[in-house]
Amino acid sequence: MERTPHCRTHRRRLGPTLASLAAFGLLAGCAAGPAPSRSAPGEITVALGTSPINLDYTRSSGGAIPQALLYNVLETLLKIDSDGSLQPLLAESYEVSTDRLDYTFRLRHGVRFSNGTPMTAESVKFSFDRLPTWTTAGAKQLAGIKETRVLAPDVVQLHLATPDNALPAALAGPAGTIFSPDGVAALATAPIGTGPYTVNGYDPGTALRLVANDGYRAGPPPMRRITLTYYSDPTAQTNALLTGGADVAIGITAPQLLAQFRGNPDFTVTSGTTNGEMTLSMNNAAAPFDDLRVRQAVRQAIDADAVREIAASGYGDPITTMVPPSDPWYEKRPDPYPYDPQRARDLLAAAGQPHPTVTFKVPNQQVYIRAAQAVQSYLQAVGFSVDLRILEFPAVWLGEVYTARNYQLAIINHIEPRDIVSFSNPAFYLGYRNPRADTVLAAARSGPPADYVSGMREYARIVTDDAAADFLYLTPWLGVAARGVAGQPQNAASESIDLTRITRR
Amino acid sequence: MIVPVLRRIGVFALTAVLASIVIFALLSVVPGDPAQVALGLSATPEAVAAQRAAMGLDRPVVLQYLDWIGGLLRGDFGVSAVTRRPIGTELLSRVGITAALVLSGMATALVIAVPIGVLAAVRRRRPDGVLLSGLSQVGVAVPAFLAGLLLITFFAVQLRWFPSGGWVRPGEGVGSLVSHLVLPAVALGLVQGAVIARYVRSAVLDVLREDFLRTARAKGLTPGRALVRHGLRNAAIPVLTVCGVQLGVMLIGAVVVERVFVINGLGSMLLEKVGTRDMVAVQGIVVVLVLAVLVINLIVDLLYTVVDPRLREST
Repeated sequence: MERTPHCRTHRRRLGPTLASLAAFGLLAGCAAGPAPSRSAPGEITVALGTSPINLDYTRSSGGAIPQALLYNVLETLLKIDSDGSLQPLLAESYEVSTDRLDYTFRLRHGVRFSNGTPMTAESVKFSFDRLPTWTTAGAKQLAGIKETRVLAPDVVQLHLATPDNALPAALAGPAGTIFSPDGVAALATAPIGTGPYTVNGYDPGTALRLVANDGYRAGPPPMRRITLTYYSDPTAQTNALLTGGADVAIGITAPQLLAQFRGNPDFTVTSGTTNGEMTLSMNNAAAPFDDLRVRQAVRQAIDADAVREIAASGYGDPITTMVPPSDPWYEKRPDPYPYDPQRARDLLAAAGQPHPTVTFKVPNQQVYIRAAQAVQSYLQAVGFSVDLRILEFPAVWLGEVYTARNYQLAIINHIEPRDIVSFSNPAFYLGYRNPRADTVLAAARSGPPADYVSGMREYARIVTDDAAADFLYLTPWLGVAARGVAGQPQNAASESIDLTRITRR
Repeated sequence: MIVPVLRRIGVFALTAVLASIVIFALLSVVPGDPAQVALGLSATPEAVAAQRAAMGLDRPVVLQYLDWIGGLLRGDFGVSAVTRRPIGTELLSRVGITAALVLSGMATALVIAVPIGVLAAVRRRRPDGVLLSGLSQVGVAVPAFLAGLLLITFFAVQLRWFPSGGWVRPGEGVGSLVSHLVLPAVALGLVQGAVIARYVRSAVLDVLREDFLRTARAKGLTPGRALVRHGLRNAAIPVLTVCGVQLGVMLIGAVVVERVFVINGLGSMLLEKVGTRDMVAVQGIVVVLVLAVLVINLIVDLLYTVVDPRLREST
């Protein structure tokens, strides 16, 4: 078959055309500013990480549910603000009886649920009376409420079995949510609350749409619509920011992605604190970690600052126990178990176990895997033999570590506020039992309020000195906002991602 | 005429039932307790046991299967114990998205594969033909997620021509749908296009050797006209077979692409449901995918008769 003449000239013109197209494309890319936001005025799109499995935190687990709904859609009597302080919310004020068994709350007037029903003392009684139907452990924080009494339409009294200094903070958590009897029919898909926003729809795994509650007691909130979009991958989360698909990203779990936003005038990077302790758990109920010296050796073998550098790119804060700086009983105390590999080896020798073999069960997320690999090399340097197993999270990891307690070492981020009390929970997966510590905790909680902080500090010291677990670092709260966004939460001080003040120009 | 059609439907139904049994059996032995996952980190053992009872997991496996298949035959996919929503409505809202993605991926693949395959065959002894053949060989080896990531990095993040992911929001028009569809369809289509191009090339090569093509040239047709008029229809049969198979492969490739582009289609629903051990939902999705593959095979069979009249009597 012979070539026809016109084929040659077509081919000659193709090359230069392609080259100029490519050049134009590159130039266009270089010249472009920030991608315009796809949100209309009065709307804002927030890019988050793990999605809620449904919208009912009375019966389903996962931090993502209260993160989206607490304070934004559902409200409590008291609230934990961004700096960790307790503020009034649905309650204007409260008084405590002299025997500290009765807490009397004055409720705000003129508060309605989003379906129009007024919020009264009856609603509070209804909400606390149904706490036994909750299956999530958070409800146990209010297990001390023996009776809820309606004294007047705007006055409600909580009667406790024993005094509990931890009650006010517990009331600010999800367990303290105030529901309406006609608002609990479909909690998993359409929860009804008194908050500034209401749920307009949820595409599971993808997007939760909130719209302004026009009947909100303080007037309409700053935005008409907030769309929470969920990304299982932090790269996709930050890409959405770059392409205008999101206006702000909150709770970014891959710190190395922040570098591309630093120095970019179109974006602001924020770094705050959380209640998340990155915990190296040791099974206190099984060998070899039933021996205090072996646990101490683990703590002294690991350089926590280096682990934080590797796993969190240096973000986050150092901690020595399960107490973040935002807890009232935080004290800056020198680490009783500083990094000292030689001392670790001596401790292992003293315990008669110079070369223990342990399995290390790690959830299959990048931040855990990075931290675990660093921990593994530190432990192996002092004589441990560490078999690192990466397990699917949550299904398999939860089953083996939490339910079956079939583990020796594990790693997880504990995010609940004020969760140091877990060490006195007999069902806690760490298997730590110390009756003396339990007594100190009980005394701190039911004793005089003036002694609460010092009592908790003593409790924290006992648990830390017992090397029940190793607390590697406090996980950072990382966010990036496009220009014009303000009012986003700087810290994760509560279980909520507080969007009540967020605005976009 | 009736008997072969009935036979086809019978085979279809039997395959679907067998597939459902296999799916159910496999998923009932996967490690991880759905009740534990639903209740999470802080649940007590009593609460987990109560949840298992509520989810019907303590009944014998055969009873659970019969319950499920009975519901399916009535069109009831059940209610998810995790999201508390009817699975059927969730499935329905997502099927359209994945269908759009896979069909546009296949269209992209054909647009890439047919010209490249034909050119590679026709110019097989020339440098450009060899180059095209080599490119398709490389394309086969590129994973869809890598293609997707590269496309996002270049066309979405750098050039800002397309969004980096997500789907059209309610209220936005067709233009938004198209712009969200382009990169994922190209990611899917590029790789499949390379695979199909290789088949097109070898099918066209076979046709080029045929006598009837030489006869057509002898009758005075140009090489191009001869190929198009007489050759391509014959080359279409093996290519149609491959397309049918690759469409099934694309359904699975869509899982990865939906994850990379954060598209809420059937594929990401499948990943999510497996992660939360929402077994009833996973069973429902897999049944839908199996049915889709069976329907595709049926359509391919019918298309054979359309393309090649010689095959029409055998139905």
